[in-house]
Amino acid sequence: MTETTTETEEQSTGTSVGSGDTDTRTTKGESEERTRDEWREYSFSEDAILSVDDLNVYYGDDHALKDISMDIPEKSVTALIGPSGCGKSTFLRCLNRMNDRIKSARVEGTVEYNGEDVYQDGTNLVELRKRIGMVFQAPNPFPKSIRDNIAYGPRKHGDINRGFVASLLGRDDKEEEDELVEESLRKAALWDEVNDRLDDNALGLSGGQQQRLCIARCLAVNPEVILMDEPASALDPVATSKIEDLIEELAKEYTVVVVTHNMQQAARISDQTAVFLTGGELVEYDETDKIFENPESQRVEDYVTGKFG
Amino acid sequence: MSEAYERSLVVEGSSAYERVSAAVVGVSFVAFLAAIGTFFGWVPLAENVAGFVAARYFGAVLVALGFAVAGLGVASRVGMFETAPDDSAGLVAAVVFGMLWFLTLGFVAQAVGIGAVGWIGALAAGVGLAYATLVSSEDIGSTFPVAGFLLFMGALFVAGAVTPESAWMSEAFEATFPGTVVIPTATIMGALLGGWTGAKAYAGYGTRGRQNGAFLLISLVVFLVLSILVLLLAFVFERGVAVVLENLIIGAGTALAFVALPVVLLSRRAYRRGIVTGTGTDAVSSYVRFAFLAVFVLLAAGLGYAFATATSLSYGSVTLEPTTAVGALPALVVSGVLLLVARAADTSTAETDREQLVARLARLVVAGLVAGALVELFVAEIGVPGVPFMPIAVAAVAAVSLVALVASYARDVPYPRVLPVTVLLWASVVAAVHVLATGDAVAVAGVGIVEGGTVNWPFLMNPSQGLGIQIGVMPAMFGTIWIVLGAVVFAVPLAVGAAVYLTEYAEDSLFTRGVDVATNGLWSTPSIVFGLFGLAFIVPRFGDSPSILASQLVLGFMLLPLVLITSREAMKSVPDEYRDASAALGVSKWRTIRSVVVPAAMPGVITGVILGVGRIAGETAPLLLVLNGPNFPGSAPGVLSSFDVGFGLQPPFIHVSNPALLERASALPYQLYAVITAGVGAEESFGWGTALVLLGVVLSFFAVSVASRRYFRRKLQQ
Amino acid sequence: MFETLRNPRSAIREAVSRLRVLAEETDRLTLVLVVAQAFFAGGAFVSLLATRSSLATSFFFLFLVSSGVSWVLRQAVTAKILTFMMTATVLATLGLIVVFLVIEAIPVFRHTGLELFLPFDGANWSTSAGEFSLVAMIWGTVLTTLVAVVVAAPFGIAGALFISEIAPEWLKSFVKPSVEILAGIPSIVYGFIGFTILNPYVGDLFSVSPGSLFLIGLVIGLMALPTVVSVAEDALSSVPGSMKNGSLAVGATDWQTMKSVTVPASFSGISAAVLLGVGRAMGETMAATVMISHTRQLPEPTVYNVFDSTETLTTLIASSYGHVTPGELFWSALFAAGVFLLVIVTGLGIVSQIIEQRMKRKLGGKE
Repeated sequence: MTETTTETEEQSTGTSVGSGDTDTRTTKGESEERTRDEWREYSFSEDAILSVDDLNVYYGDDHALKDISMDIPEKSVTALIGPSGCGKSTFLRCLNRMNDRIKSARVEGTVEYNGEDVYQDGTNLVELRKRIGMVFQAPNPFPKSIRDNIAYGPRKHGDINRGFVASLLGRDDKEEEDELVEESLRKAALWDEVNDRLDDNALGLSGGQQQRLCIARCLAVNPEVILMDEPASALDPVATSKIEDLIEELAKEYTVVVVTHNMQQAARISDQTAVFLTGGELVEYDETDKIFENPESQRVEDYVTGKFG
Repeated sequence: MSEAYERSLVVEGSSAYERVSAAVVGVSFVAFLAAIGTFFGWVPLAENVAGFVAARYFGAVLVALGFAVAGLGVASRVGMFETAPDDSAGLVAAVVFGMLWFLTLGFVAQAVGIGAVGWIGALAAGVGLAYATLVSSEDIGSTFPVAGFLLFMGALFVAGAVTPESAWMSEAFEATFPGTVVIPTATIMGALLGGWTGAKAYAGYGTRGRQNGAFLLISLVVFLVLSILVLLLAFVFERGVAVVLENLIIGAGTALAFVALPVVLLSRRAYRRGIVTGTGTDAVSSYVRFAFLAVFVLLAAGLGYAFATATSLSYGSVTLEPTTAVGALPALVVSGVLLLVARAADTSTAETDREQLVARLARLVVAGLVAGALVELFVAEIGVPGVPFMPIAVAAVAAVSLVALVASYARDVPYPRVLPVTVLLWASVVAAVHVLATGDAVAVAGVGIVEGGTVNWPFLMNPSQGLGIQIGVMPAMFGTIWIVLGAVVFAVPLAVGAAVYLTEYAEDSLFTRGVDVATNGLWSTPSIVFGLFGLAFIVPRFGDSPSILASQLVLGFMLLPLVLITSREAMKSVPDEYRDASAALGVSKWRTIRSVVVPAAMPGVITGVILGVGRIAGETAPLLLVLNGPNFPGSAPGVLSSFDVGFGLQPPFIHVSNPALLERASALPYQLYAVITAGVGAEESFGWGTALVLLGVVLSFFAVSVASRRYFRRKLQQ
Repeated sequence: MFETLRNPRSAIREAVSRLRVLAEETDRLTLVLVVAQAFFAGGAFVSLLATRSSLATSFFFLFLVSSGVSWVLRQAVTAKILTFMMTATVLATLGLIVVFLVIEAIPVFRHTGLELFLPFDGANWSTSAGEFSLVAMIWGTVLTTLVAVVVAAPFGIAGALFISEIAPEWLKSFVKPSVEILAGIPSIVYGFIGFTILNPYVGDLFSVSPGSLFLIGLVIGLMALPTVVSVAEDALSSVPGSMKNGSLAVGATDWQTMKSVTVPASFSGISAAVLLGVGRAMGETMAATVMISHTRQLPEPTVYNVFDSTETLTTLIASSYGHVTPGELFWSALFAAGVFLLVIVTGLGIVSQIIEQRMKRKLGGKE
C-alpha cells in the first residue's frame, strides 16, 4: 500500500510538471480541450487494475458519459464524486457491466480489467461480476436467512454444494460454508452482532446491518474489486461511520471504488478522487488531497468548496 | 491475483461446437413444428413421401439428433472443445430424465405385453438413470439420456416397429392410442429435449448453459401457447368471414367516408411527427403506420376508380356500388370522430380583436346550425314547402368555411386554420341530422348525403327466418346492446360511487375490510352462480319470468366488482399532492373530489368500464337462466318504442313501464348457444358467423381498453 | 380490525357515542334529510326482499326525491351518504347471493342429507328415483379442474416469467396486451370450437365418445391461462429490482436469479395466481356445457378415466334449467350445486387476493 502511494505520488508530480504551471488554473475551456493522451498521462497508470479508455455511454439519445479515460490503482479506495446526474453511478455500473440491464443503454470505448477488455465478445459476465462485486445504494438483502444471503453467491457458482442433491452425493460442504459465512461476516464487521442468529431472516436486521450484510455477501464470492454506489446514503450517521471504517479496512485487501456525493466522506476515506461534473464529463482525477486542497480546474474548486453543485 | 480464479474471464467459444449445438436447436425446432403440424394435417405422417412413409423421416430426424447430441456430450468430455460443465447435471435434469425413461420403458413393456413386471423394471431403470444423471459430469449427464431416447424412438420409427397404423388399446381408459398420436407426441418430446440440450451445449454447459436451456424451453412454450390462441382467432375468422360478409353491398361514397377517417388520422400524424421516427420498435411501428396509410390511400384510389368508371366492384359476394352518396349515419359517425380529432388538434388561440371576432362569429354560426338541427329532430322541418331551409344554410356555411380555409393557406395566415375545418365538420353533422330527421337527401347530382341504403349488410341487419332461408343476428345484436346498456346504467354509478367512498371517505374499518372481501369474492364468483341468484332473487321480483331487465340487473351485478376494482385503483393513483393542494386552498372535501379526484381518475374509470363491458358482453351462462329467449327471434326487442309513461293517483304518481324490458329475448352469445343446441349441420356456418361477430364486439372492447390505458399511461409519464 | 372483532361490545358502544356526537354537531335540516334518505332506502330494500314490488317502487321514488332535495340543499353530506349507500350495496350483493342460494338449497339438503356431497353408498343422481346426490358432478368438476390446472399452472407461470423477466422490451410490449385481449375471448366461442371441431376430432383419434373430460379440461385450462399469466406476472414484477440486482452483482445468471430470488420472493403471489386459475376453471360453464355428455354418473371403468365423460356442477345447472320448476327438489339441487361452487370458488378468490396483498405488503413494493 505504502509503495503504491509513493509511486502514484511520483506519477502525479510528474503530471503536474508535465501539464505546465500548477499555479495557473486551467479554465473551463482548456480542460475540455484536453486530449486523450494527456488524460492517460494524468491517470495512475502503474498498478492499474481497471483501465478505462475513451468510454462513452448513451441512454437512447442522451449522452450520459463523455470520453472518460482513467486508471484505477489496485488495493486502494477511489472515490467518484460529483453532483447528481453527472454520470458517476453510470460509470460505476459500466465497470462490471451492470448497465447491460438497462435496455436503452449503449456503451462505447474500452474498460480493461487486468488487461482484458470487459466489453469484448465472449466476456463471461458471471466471472466478471464474481471478480468485480457491487454494493448498492439501498441495502438489498434477499428475503432469506443471513446464512443463505452470504452463501448465495458461492452456492450459485458451485463453489459450495448444499442441499438434497449434495447430501445424496456425499458432497455436502456444510463446514466450508460455515467457515465462509464466518469469515465474510468478520471481514464486514458484522459477525459479533449476528453470530447467534444466522438463520434469522435478513430483512429483520437494521439498515446499517443490512448494508454490511450486503458487503459480506459480496465478499463471500472473493472479488478483487468492490464497487459501491453511495453505500451509506440511506443510513444514519452511526451506521455511516461504521461503513466508512469498513471501507478503509477493506482497501488493505481489495480495490474499492466508491461513488459518493458526500465530499467529506470522499476526503476521509479515499486515496484518489475523480470529479464528474454535469454533462457526464470527468473533469479532474487526482490524489484526494490534491483534489480537495489544490485542484487544477476552477470548476472542481468551486464544486469542492461548495460554490456550485 | 487473477490466477486465483479457476476459469478465465473471457470465453473463447469454439465456433464449431457452437455451430453444431445451434444446428441441433434449429433441427429440433423444425421437428417440433412439423410434429405439431401433423395434428392439423399440414404435414404428412401416414402418407408416402418419396417412397417412404412420412413417419420414417421423423424417425430419421430423431436418430440424427440423437447422434448429434451424443456427439456434443463426448466432444466436451474428452476435451476437444473448451466447455465449463458442472460436476452434476442437476436435480431437475435427473428427475426429468428418470421420469422420461420410466414412462418410455413402462409403455414399451405394456405394449409388448409384460405389464406389471415391466413397470417395476421401468421404475428401477428410471431411478437408476436419474441417479446416474446426478453423479455424472454435466456434459455427459445431460446429453446421454436424451441421445438414448432420441435414438431409441427414432430407431422404432425408422425400422417400422411403430407406424401410423399401429394402435394400442387401453382398457383403463377405454381409449385407443394410434400411431398418428404416438409418433408426433414422441417427436415433440424428443425435439423439446434435444433443443434443451443443444441450448445448454451452445453456452458450454454450466450456469450459462442452464440459463440458455431454460430460456429456450420457456420461450418455446410461450410461443406454442400464443400461437394456439392466435390460431384459434384466425380459425374463427376464416370460418366466419364469408358468412358475415355474404351479400354485403356498400356504396362507394360511404366506403370512402370510412376510408377517409384513417387516412386523415394517419397522415396527420405522419405530417406532424415525420414519416419515420424514433429507433428500434418505434421506427418499426412508424413503418407499419406508413404502410397502413399507403393501403388506405390505395383503397381510396380504388374507390375513386369506381366513381370515375361507374362500375361495381365485387369480391366474392361483397359488392361495391359506384353510388357517390354517403349514408346519413356513416356521415354522422365519421364527421363526429373527425370533430373530436380537430378539437384535440386545435392549439391555436384567437389573439387579436379581429381573430376573436371571427372565432365568436364561427361559434355563433355553429350554435345556430345545431339549434336548427335539434328543432328539426324533435319538432318539425324548418322551411317553407319546397324550399328546405337547413340544406341551404349548411351549403352556405360550408362554402364560406371552404373559402376561409383556402384563403388562410393562400395568404399564409396561421390563425383560423382549424376553425374552418371545425365549422365544415359541424355543417356535415348538421346535414346528416337533417337527412335523418326529414328523410330528404341533401345531394347535388348524386353527391351528398342520403338517408340510407348505401350499406346493405344482411348478416347484421336481418333477423334469421327459419332454417336455411335467411340468417342474421340483428335481434341478438340489439338484445346484447340493450342488456349491456342496462347493466352499465345500473352498475357504473354504483361502482364509481362506492369507489369514491372507499378511497376518499372511508377509514380502515371492519366495514371497508368487509367490502374488500365482498368485492374480491364477487369478482371471482362463477357467472353461473350469478345466474342462479338472478333466478332466485331478481326474476320473482321483476315480472316473474326471464327477461331483458333481469339480465341487465344480473350482468350489472357482475360488472359491479370489475368497475369498482379498476375505479378504486384509478382513484388511488391520483397523487395526494392534488388533494392537499386543493385542501390548502380551502376547498371543501366534496368539491375537491368532484373537481380534482374524479376528473383525474376518469381515464382509469373509463378503461375499467370498457374492459368490464367486454367481459359481460360475451357472458352466456347467466343468460341461459335469466334471459332464456327464443332460439331465433324474428324481431329485435322494441325497447325504445314501448316506453309507457302514465300518471296516476297512487304513489309514486308517475308510472313508467316498459313491457319490452320484461320480455324474453336473445343476445349474441345466447344465439351462439342456440345454434349449438338447435343441432349443427346446415346451421354451422351461422354459428361461425355469430362467433365472429361476437368475437369482434368483445375483442374490440378489450383492444380499446388496453389501448386507452396505454395512451393515458403514456400521457401521464410525459 | 381484529381489535374490534375481539371486543364487539366496546366497539358498539364507541359507534353509538360517535353517532350521538355526530347528531349533536350537525344541524337539524341535514339530520332530517339524512334520516329520510336512510329510511326510504331501507324501506325500498326491505319491501323488495318481501316481494312487494309496488311498495318498493314507491319507497325508491321517495328516496330519489329526498336525495334530490338534499342534493340541492346539502350537497357535500348527500354525496357522502349516497356513496356510502353505494358501497353498502356491494356488501349487500354478496350477502343476498349467499342467503338466497342457501335458502333455495335447503330442501334438497333436508331430503338427501350428507349424501348430497359425500360418496356414501347409493349416492346417485336419478331424478325419477328422487335421488339427488351431486357426487358425480363434484367428481367431474375435480377431474376437469385437475387437467385444466396441469395445463394452466406451468404454462401460465412460464408465460409470466417470459413476460416479466425474459422477453426483450419490444416483445413484452406486444405480448402483454395480447394476453390481456385473449383473456376476453368469450367462453361460448371456445365451446363452439370444442363442439364443432375438437369433440369429433378427439373422438375419432382415440375412439372415445365425445366430450371426454380430458379434452374439456384442456380447453378450460387454455381459457384460464391468460388469467394465471396476468396475475402471476403482477406478482413477479412486484419483486423490487434492487433485489434482482443484488443477485446479479454477485455473478448469478438471470435464470439463477429468477429461480433463487424472484420466484421464491413472489411465491405466494404466484400461488395466488394458480388458485385463481383453479377458481376460473371450476366456475367455467359454457365451454363445458356444450361439449360434455351430461351422463351424471361417475366415469367408467375407473373413476379416474379422464377419457370418459360425465357432468360437472356448472354444466348441471346450465343444462337443467328449463326442465325444472321452482320448488321441486331438482330445482333445489341446482341451487345446492350453486352453493357448493360459491363456497369453493368465491372462497378461493378471496383467499388468493388476501395472499397476494400480504405478499405485496411484505415486499414493501407497490400497493
